Amino acid sequence: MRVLVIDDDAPSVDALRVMLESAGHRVDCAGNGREGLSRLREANGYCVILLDVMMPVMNGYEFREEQLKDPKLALIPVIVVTADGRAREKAKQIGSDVFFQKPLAPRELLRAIGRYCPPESPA
Amino acid sequence: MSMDDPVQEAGELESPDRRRSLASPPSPILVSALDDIARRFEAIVESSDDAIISKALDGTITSWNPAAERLFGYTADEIVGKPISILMPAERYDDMESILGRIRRGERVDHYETVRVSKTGRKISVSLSVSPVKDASGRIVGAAKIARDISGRKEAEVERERLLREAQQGVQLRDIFLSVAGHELRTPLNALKLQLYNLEQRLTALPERGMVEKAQKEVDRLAALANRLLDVARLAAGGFSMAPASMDLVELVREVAARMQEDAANAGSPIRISAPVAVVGTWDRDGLDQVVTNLLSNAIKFGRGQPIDVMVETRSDLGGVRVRDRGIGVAPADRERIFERFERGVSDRSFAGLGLGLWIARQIVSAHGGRLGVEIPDEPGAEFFFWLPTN
Repeated sequence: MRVLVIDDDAPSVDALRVMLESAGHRVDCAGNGREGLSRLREANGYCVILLDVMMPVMNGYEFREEQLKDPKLALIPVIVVTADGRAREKAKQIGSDVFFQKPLAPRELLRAIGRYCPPESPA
Repeated sequence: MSMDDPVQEAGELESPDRRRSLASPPSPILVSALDDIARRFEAIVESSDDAIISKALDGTITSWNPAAERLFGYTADEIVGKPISILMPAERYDDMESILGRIRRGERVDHYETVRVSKTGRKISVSLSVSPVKDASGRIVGAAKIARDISGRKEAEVERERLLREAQQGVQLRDIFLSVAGHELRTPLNALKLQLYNLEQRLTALPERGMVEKAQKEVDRLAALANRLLDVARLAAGGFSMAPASMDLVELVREVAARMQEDAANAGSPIRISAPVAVVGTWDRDGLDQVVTNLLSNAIKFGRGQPIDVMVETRSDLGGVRVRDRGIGVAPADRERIFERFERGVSDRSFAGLGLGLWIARQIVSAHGGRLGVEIPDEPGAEFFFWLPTN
């Protein structure tokens, strides 16, 4: 089972990958919603998506719309991670109850991910 | 056109000449009365601020008052006998046919807003009222036209629309700027905070871990400051935009307290919540989260390591929260000042802050139609409170 990180900020993605892998998760990354959809369609076995909102090419809202249209992808849970402020409102619009405002709180985020994805290797 | 025949000039209304030719010689009293009417009519036409023009059914101008001269720049001598089309910009020729068509059918045209052109070629916005002129037998022989210069009004309308558009664009730009500024400030802080966490996880030596932990706290402080400044900019520029929804204040207070429990414990000020019943209302959850967070963080910061009591209450149609600390308290003279922007209860350097938190909290509570304030108890400490209408 893998975590998919969809975020256009490369330094954040790097840091998230290190953090999640160190915690025993397998991680794939995509720089925008469209790339994210490709990743999801190329491979099975994603347990959760960490979704940024403001991104080029395809933003978080557009990604979510496409995700929900595809019955194979619709059930994968989404954790909204946004630097935009009013995270709760944005997550609600996207249709997710779980959201984090950037800068992310690492321990809380790991706990939230752990609810969907048990770590594959010991942290 | 002769100036001694004003009635005919001004519109070929009931012509006294025509009357004379149709009937037996009129009585001197009637002639005198008609002359009197004609003089008055002439005076009105001459002194009118509106251009008054008459024309025949083929569009030939038959009379032209001084206001028409002022408006269009032609003297009566220059223009009487010329076609009315001389005043039409090319793109409005259709106007003329449509107006003349209505006049031929005996209809009036009221306050028709259009454009005419002056002798110098300047376009003038005018409001036209055109009435058919009939002869004694009721036959339509021409039209009387009143033209009012509405260029000023039109310019003012255009200016008003421009200003409104600019104001709307300004508000939109401001919102975009604040949103982008927030995003841009928080994004690098995010990478920084996560990398510090990663570093902390790899360090085994305690002193180094402590240093990284401190660095992480500074990142949180920077993020909080960025949030504050953006909130203030937003509030100062246009108020607090709310997304109210049904929510339980008790649940929110418990959530915020849980989030701050660690800080509170570190400060030696445990948070004790008393909330006997749910307090449900229609409020902006993010906004109230900020308010409760602010009151609790102040209580921790200024609480001198004493317990903090939080009471969530409801009375009639109000829901409220009281936060009682046993810390340094608020001087009576500072009771209102601390809610001002950039004001702080203590100037002591040992308490960091911009002096914005309470101001922001009060703005948010006010936007809900509520009230936020402070009570100064007899015992040491302060009791901050807010009340909100439940609907």
